[in-house]
Amino acid sequence: MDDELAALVRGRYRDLVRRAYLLTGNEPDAQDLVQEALARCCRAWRHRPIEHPDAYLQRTMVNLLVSRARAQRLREIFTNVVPDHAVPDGASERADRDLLWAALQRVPPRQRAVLVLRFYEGLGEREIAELLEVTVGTIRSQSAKGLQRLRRLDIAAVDGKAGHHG
Amino acid sequence: MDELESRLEQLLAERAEVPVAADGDPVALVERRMRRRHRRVQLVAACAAALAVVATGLGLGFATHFGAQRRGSVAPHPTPPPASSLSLNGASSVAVDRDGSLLIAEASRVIRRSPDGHLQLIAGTGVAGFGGDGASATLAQLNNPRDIAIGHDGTIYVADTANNRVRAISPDGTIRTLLGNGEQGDPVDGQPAVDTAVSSPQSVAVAPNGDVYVGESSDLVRVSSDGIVHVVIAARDPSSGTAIGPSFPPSLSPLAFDASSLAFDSAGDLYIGVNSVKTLIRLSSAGTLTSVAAQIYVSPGGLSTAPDGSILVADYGDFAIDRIVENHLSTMTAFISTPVSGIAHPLRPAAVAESPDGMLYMVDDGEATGSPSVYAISPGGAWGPLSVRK
Repeated sequence: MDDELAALVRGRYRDLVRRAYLLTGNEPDAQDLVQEALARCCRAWRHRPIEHPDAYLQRTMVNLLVSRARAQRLREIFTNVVPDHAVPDGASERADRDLLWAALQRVPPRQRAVLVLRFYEGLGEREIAELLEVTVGTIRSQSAKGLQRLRRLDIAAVDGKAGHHG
Repeated sequence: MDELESRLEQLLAERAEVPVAADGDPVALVERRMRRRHRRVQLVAACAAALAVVATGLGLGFATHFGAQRRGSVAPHPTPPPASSLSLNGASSVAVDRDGSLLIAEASRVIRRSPDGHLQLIAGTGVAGFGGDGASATLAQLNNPRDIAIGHDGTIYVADTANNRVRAISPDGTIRTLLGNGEQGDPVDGQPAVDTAVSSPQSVAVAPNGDVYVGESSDLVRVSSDGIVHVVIAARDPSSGTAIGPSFPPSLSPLAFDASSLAFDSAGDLYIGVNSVKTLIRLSSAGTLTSVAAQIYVSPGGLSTAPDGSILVADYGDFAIDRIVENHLSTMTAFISTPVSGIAHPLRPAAVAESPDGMLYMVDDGEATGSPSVYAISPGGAWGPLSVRK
């Protein structure tokens, strides 16, 4: 690997894993996603330097996420009850966020990716569309669908929690 | 930004701060991965070359013999494979045709396997995408179809999930779109079915009167013979006030509704697998919804109608195939408690279908092996892989 690429890999690795973690919901998958995306980036680089490596990596990670989810689409979290730990005072907000985090993992991967790009990266619909190389309309509908799904899951989770403990 | 959106923003900001464990030098990790890929490519190339040599050296006769032996475990009357090099490549769903042929949906194709084991391409070029309506289905493109169903006239309906469409392949082999304009969105009641948006249709079933029922991400719709779409159940965001359909059984929150899998029994009742909450419900022909079973994991293609009119359930959570007769659910085969001899991993059924001669076909979801494949069980209880992806 030449110096320029090695610097890119070292410089971006941790930050990419953090971003991938938001997509995958767990760290091993996040590391795997980042390594595969970087390997692909390096292979592509041999033919021609990539103009915007960050955009390339982000797009590759989303595409890998979607194709893997497709290949393993039946692999699900086998808990019917979302995480709801008994915790000391002051933690109820965090528990609620755990529920939301669990709900986010059940949003279909492409919609989840759009939500992460929008609400973590703060990108607009047009920027996300350019990054993922799809139309703005697609992003708009996936964002709406993702939010709608999240809302339903969130409400169902909160209802479920109330049902179990109330 | 509403309350959920701001919670989401806060959550993501917080989770992004999770410390990343240092597993070594990133450059070394990435280089190792690049080498791994390289070796795999070399290995595949070497295998292909060796195979070509063997095939040329021994001629087709050997291959035919070998193919017949392999299939012998499940097909009573194997015949030589066709001259084409058609082979199965994964599976997402199965259905049995009137003549006992098995239809298999793959990532971008539909393949028919006749009772003698002969494979025939029905639809799809093997390249995922959309196109080819109005012409031969074998030249058309599909994209990640999740379910197939067969109409009373022999039409094959394909839930062409990633194309946001349902395709129909008529007995003469031409393909058309039955539902969906390709846009992802909520179907609009009363519109021509080909003009409406639909969101990732994942299940399809044909009613006794020939209407086609389709489950998508949050709705159940029906396409009548005049080509109009009717929303049967829509359990959308209650704030938009668009919930349509019968009232839900108390055990099921309308918010969690999806129609992951569908099948009609002989009485005309529609069974609906709601995967998001692992529940099976029944929409009676009179239009009421009742709960059939909770804690049941049914994926797209996981329900099918047996030749006797009962419902087969591929219950992947319990590694079992169940049958529902007159609303009573019983387990037929459990792959955990009775492991299949010669198969080292548990079979996790993602889809199931039964042929008129009592043969059961099942898609193992590939959880254990990395690639889904089809298995067959004879009425006598003998198991074997229908095809194994190398």
